[in-house]
Formats: sequence, structure tokens, C-alpha cells
Amino acid sequence: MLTEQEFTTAADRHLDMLYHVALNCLRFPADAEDAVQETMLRLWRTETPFENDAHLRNWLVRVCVNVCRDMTRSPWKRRVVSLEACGEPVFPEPAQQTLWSELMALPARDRLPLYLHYYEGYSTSEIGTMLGLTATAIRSRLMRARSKLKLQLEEESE
Amino acid sequence: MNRPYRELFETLPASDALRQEVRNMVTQDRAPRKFSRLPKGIAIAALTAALLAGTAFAANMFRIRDLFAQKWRAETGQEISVDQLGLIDQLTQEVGASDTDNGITVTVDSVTRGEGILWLLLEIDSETPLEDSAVFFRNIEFSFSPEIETGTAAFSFEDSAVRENGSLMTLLRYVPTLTGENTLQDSYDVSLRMKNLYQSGELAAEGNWEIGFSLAKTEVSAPLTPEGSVVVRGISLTNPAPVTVEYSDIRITPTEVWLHTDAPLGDEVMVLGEWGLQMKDGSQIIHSGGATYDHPNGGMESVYYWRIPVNLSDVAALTFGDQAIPIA
Repeated sequence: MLTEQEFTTAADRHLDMLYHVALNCLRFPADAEDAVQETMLRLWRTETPFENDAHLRNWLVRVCVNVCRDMTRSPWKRRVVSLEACGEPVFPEPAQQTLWSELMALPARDRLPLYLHYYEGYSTSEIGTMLGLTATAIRSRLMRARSKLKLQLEEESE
Repeated sequence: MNRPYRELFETLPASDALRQEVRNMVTQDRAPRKFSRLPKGIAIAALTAALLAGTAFAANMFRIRDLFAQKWRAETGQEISVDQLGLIDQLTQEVGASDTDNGITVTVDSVTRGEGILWLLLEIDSETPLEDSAVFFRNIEFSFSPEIETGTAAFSFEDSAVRENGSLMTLLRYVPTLTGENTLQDSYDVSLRMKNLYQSGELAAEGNWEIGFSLAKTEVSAPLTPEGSVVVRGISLTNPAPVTVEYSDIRITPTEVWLHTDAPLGDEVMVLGEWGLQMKDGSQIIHSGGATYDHPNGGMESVYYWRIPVNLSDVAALTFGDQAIPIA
């Protein structure tokens, strides 16, 4: 198990990334925070021996995605939308609000590869490993997402 | 071209409230990893031993040593030796103090101690039978007299078993951050407070249990102190270049290993790997949890705890990952 110091350091380094991953999966900040808390609790309790920081980061992304999937599969989640969950992020620039709306109009399965590639800098094969998909499938999702956005994103490079 | 996309997420950091929630997790118990009925093999062995000894087994069955024997088998794949059991007995004190609330009696059956770790075998008796599933309490607090200087503490409910009378036995592990010179092996009056009983993550019974008991000073054997220093791999938190961490003043006790380093652990460097003990019979014990402190005389002091108390005369080497540091 991680020591308290290792856990706190991991939280400081990766919390924003996890929050973004969860936001991409779940859209609403309140849900994303729940998913991040559950993910970090699993980290606190895991006995997985981490070889290095990259291993730790990949583990966190995988667990967070699984937690998000579980949340969206929950019967309660499917039937009920709480008032708190209706709140979407607010941005300082109108252009950002528009971009956010465009992103959220994409299927959730396409949003996450986009984030992992264009923000976190993962290669398509690394994203494939994390999400249990082939690099080809990831490239296809990136291409599909790019084609739907007005924003021009660079094509992925390996 | 990608900048607007990046800037969008840069305006969405995790909230301070979320950060605080996550930081607070280190004060929570770590979930029970395992919950099982005591294996028939152990029960049969205990029964056989009791009959051979000519004593009534019911009162002594499922003692803390039996749960450690179960952990030893799970950890090493081998039966625990007589010497290891002797060491566990040496570190263990029978207690028998209890408190009852809401129809549930919680008894501290016995306590096994190291310098910085306590294992408490708790017996939970309920008027209504408790389900055979993971059990734990919330809001656990220890206080010691004379007082011990501690920082945050980690709790976990580990291996458990069900006695034939239906009561649950569970092993509570308590690891405080010791900031003074005391160790948990000194003589203390202890107060343990626990709130609300949970099973499988659900509230099973509300209640407050406060149990007081005394612990006598434990006689401890001399630690193993490998000569020289040990260099292990670490990762830098400030640049991608690989780094090494040199540990010195290594002290191995039956329950933990203490190491000193001048490396800036925590803020700049992290060591990610498993400390362990290679036993002479080929089995290996891996650490479970640990902490790093600022040493009052400079540098950092790290401690990693063994899952099970270990008889030091059976230790062949200290290990870190694939690295083995022989014990002279």
C-alpha cells in the first residue's frame, strides 16, 4: 500500500487529470467529483505495487474510467438527475463555453480519447492500452471527434 | 491549434473541497482486504494441538496467532513455523476488556505490538447474528497514557474469522505516525473508541464503544542492522531524469524496517517499490504501508511495516524489488 506521503503526492500530481477524465466521462462536475473521490479511495486501499509514476498514472486513469462506467450503469443514475448534477462548468470566455458545448455534444466514448491525446499527450497506443481498445480504434475515434468539432485540432502523431 | 482545447481544461481544476476530501482519506481506515471463515486446516490443527495439550480448546481457539498463521500461509504459501509462532506469542498480550452498546459487545481479545504498529484482535458479539461479511468501525480513536506524540494514523481491518459461537473475530491494524521518542512497545493505559459498526460498506449497527485496557512493556529482541548503505531507484517529481536514493542506518525489527536518507523524499523524490524480507526457507514477506518523517537531526526517516511479525533469526536478506541486501 502507498504510504500517506506517497498517496498525498499522488493526489497533488494527478487530481486535476483525474477530474478532467471524469468530467469527460460524466459531464457534470458533481458526478466527476464523486468519481474522483471513489478512484482516490481505491488508490488509498489498493495493494498494487507501482513500478513508477507512469504506472501509477495509468492505473488511476483505468480505475477512474471504470468507476465512471459503473456510475453511468447504476440504475439510480439512469433514472434520476439531481438538481446538483444539473450544473455544468462555467467559463470566463464565451468561446470556451461554446467549445465546451461542442465537446459535450460528442459521444462520451470519443471525448475521453480526445482529452487523453490532446491534453495529457498520450499516444494512441497508450490510450488503447488504458481503455482496452486497439490503437486503430482510438485513431478512428479521434478522427470522428475532430470531424465534428469546429475547432481544428492537429492530427495525432505517434 | 490545440491551445484553445488545452486552455479550456486549464480553467477546470479540481476544487479545493475535493482536494481536501482526498487529503482526508489518509485518516480513514483502509478497507478490509479479506474476510473468510477460518480455514478448516487451522481449526483442525488448533483442535489437535489443544487435545494433545489436554486443555479445553474452546477458550483459546482462534487466537491472534491463528490469524497470523493464516496470513503467513497466504503471504508465503507455507505453514508458519514454531519459531514464528513463538515470536508472535512474545509480542502478544491477552487483554479481554470489552464494552457493550446497542446489543453489541466488542472485546479486545489480545494485542500484538511492534515499535510503531498495533494489531488488535477484536471479538464482536451481537444479540442478532452478524452476517459473515466484511466488518469495520468508523471514527476510531486511540489515546495513550502516558501520552504518545502522534501525527495522523492509518487503520485497517484485516483478516477475520467466525468463532463457533457465532461471534466475529477481526484484526484491527493501527499505525500512527510517531513523532516523539516513544514506541508502542512501552507500558501504557490505552483507551480505544470506535463508532458505528459497518458490514460490506453498509451501516449494520449504530453505537459507541469505548474500551480501556493496560499494556505492559514488551521485551524486544535486538534489531538487525545491515552495515553500509543501500541505493534504490526513485523518480524525480521535478524532472524526468532517473534518480537514486541512498538509505543508511537501516534497522530491521520483527515488525518493520527503519531507514534514514538525506534525499529530499516527498517534495522532490518518490521511491516506488516494495521493501521485503527474504527468509532462509526461501519465502518472502513484503511490506504493507509505511511513512516518511522529517528526522529531528536532519534528513528523512522512513518506516515500512511487515504484514506479519517476523522472527529475525530466520531472515536471510532485506529486499527492495529485485535487490537483495544480505544480512550478515
